[in-house]
Amino acid sequence: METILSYLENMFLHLPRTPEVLRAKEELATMMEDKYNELIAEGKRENEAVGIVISEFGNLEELSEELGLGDLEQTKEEDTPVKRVSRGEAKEYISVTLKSIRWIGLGVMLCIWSPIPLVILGTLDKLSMFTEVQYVCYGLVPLFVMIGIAVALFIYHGMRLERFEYLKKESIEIEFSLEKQLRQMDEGERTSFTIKIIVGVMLCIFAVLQLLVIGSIYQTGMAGGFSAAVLLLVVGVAVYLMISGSGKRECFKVLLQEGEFTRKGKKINKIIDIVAGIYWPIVTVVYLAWSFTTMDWGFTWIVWPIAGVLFGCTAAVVQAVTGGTES
Amino acid sequence: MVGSDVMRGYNDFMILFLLLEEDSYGYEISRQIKQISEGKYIMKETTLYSAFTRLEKEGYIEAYYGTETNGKRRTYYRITKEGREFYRAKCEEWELVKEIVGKFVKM
Repeated sequence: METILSYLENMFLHLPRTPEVLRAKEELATMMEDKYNELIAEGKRENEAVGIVISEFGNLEELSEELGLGDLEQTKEEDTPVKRVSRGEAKEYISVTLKSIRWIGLGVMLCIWSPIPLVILGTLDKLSMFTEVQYVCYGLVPLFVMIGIAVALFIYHGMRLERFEYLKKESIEIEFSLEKQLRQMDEGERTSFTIKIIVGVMLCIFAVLQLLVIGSIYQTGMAGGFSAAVLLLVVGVAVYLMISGSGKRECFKVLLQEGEFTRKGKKINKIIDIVAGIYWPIVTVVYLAWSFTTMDWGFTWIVWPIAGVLFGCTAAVVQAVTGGTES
Repeated sequence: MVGSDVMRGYNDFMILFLLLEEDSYGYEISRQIKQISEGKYIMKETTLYSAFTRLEKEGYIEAYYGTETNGKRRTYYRITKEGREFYRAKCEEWELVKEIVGKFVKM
């Protein structure tokens, strides 16, 4: 059966991945599989069955009109080179990402948790029981240790994932059978992904609610402070859940070139990368120039949120313009 | 064995015939064509698929997903009212073709 699928894969290698083409490929694969299974059931040997199925496949030229490809020869010329990703490479990418994404999630959780000791100390300090040294020991030291560990995790796992960056940026291609397998896995994974995200969101809502409720009941005293610590604790767990939960789906999306990782999306991302390379340095210069001339640091930070929003707009415009001209 | 060139105009016709009785799917149709023609005509997979898309575009058949059997989702096809009308017209056409070409046959 592998032979048949890889034969089909090769036939479709240079065709654009339009929905029509993908559907045709799937239908043809099913027909060939049915025929193969029946031949085997009839008692044919495997080689014989494969030979018959392939010899009765026909000719793709016949489908060019139905698939809206016009002249097949013309569409073979792709403007960007396509990189083939082997099964082993894909599997490795998935396993490394799954491992790393958990550690990165843990790092983010540590960052969120890092101020907790300080918050608790600050709350207890209403009883004025701490010296400055104790503050540093029990508050700041854990803060920096946690952030230190987190940064180490980010750097180490960021580097491990870096060699797979090309999967996200270049046009890739995977074996048909692998694609099918991944789609099935993706389908199966969807429920657990959704559950993790829902639990994450619920935890966040709970965290904020308990702060609001406790804050309004005990307007003074230590309850508010502890409640803030609980908020950080719960949000940390929620964020970890959401990050680790989305890792698998992201892998599938990257390998199947879906969502923001379609070939078109990759082209757009490249343009946005270039724009970002010019945009952010300019924003930084504006920020520094404005801040140093007015020395109004307490106000000039407003540049960043505004720049962020504007960048989002720019990216959307780029997407609309490039997406519009290509279709 | 008949070459696909000769049969070109009648692929759609044969598929519609098979769908008159009941809905069916890709391989089943190709198997029945082989069986009914006593192995004298084997429709290639690409020919079959191209006929499906063409017939669907014309509105003569409709595709739908059948129930899953052991994890596999199959596309089934059903004939439409227009499809039945088209089939009848093709039958009449065939009688005419047979009559005309028959006049030139000498064995």
